[in-house]
Amino acid sequence: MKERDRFEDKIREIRTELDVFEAPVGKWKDIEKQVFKDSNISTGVNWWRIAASILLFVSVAMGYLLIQTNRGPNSLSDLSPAYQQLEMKYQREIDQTYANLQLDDIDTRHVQWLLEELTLIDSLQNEYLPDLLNESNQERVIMVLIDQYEKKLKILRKIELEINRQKNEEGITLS
Amino acid sequence: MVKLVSSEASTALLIKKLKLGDSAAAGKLYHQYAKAMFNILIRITNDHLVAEDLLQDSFVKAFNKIHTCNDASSFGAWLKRIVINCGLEHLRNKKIEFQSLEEELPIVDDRQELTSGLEDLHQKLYEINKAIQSLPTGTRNIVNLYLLEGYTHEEISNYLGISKSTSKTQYMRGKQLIKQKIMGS
Repeated sequence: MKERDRFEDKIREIRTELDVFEAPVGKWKDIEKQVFKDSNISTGVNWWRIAASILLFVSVAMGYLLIQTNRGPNSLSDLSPAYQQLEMKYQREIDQTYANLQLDDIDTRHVQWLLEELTLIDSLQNEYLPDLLNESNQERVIMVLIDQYEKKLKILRKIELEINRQKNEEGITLS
Repeated sequence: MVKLVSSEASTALLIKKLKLGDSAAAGKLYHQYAKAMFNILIRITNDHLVAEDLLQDSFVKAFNKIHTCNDASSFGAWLKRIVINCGLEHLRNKKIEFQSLEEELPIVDDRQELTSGLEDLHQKLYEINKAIQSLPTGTRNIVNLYLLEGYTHEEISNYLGISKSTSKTQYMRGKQLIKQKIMGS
């Protein structure tokens, strides 16, 4: 049997502590710029990716369709009180982002396709939510629902980016 | 009652979102692993500025090929391999010579030696890092890969293009030197 080396054992014991240097501040912004502007993973959402995400959601929802006679839960908070706060947080953030966009005051033609995606997600969610919420695997349901909130927020942030980019191109000074 | 999602499950969720193009998920993954990867690169290159650039290159590379990471539970190890490859490739590209410790140090089998000072090694973190950094490039990377990153001598020999016996010999010499520097033995 190989003899243990105490020094090696001790060094390995404190391995994580040896990482004494902090990562450089602000490096993430450079990485994000490179990954999400220049490469295949892009925040400029492709139609096919949105379609694939929606198809995935529809498949999951249809896979968990149950015929119920009793009225089941209607939302994340009904499903589990523990997630009520989380759902409220998401909804607040979505509402706030919508309010910040001031869509009524601007030309939305260049973001129309993103707005249509949001509408599609909402309509699909409304259609399949009752059945999805009656699914027995609650943890998976919660992950799917959280995923939908995240998708909406992601699209809203992209709308915000597009609007700001448009304003910059038109030479409007941002406040 | 729904159980809370474990950290492994949350990493899996972040990777899943990243594969769908979610930059916020990528940001969270970056902040989880950046410090560890940065320190690995400093130890490989011995240069903070170079390590910063390579940190960026490594993460860009990793996120661009995230679709090849099929097992979320081994994401950390997968990322570490990319980071180490980046670091070593930098050394190769810069044609930094593989310097090793010459044979003036006799190799001593001191595995079972009762040396005092092991207990307070956690108080000598900077000394340990400094001792590793003071080694010649080749020896340093063998010590890094074997002692700190858990690679075998066979893997190291493949990585660095050296023989297994060279890896073992250089490691033993490097380890001895580090011990002398930090424990004064």
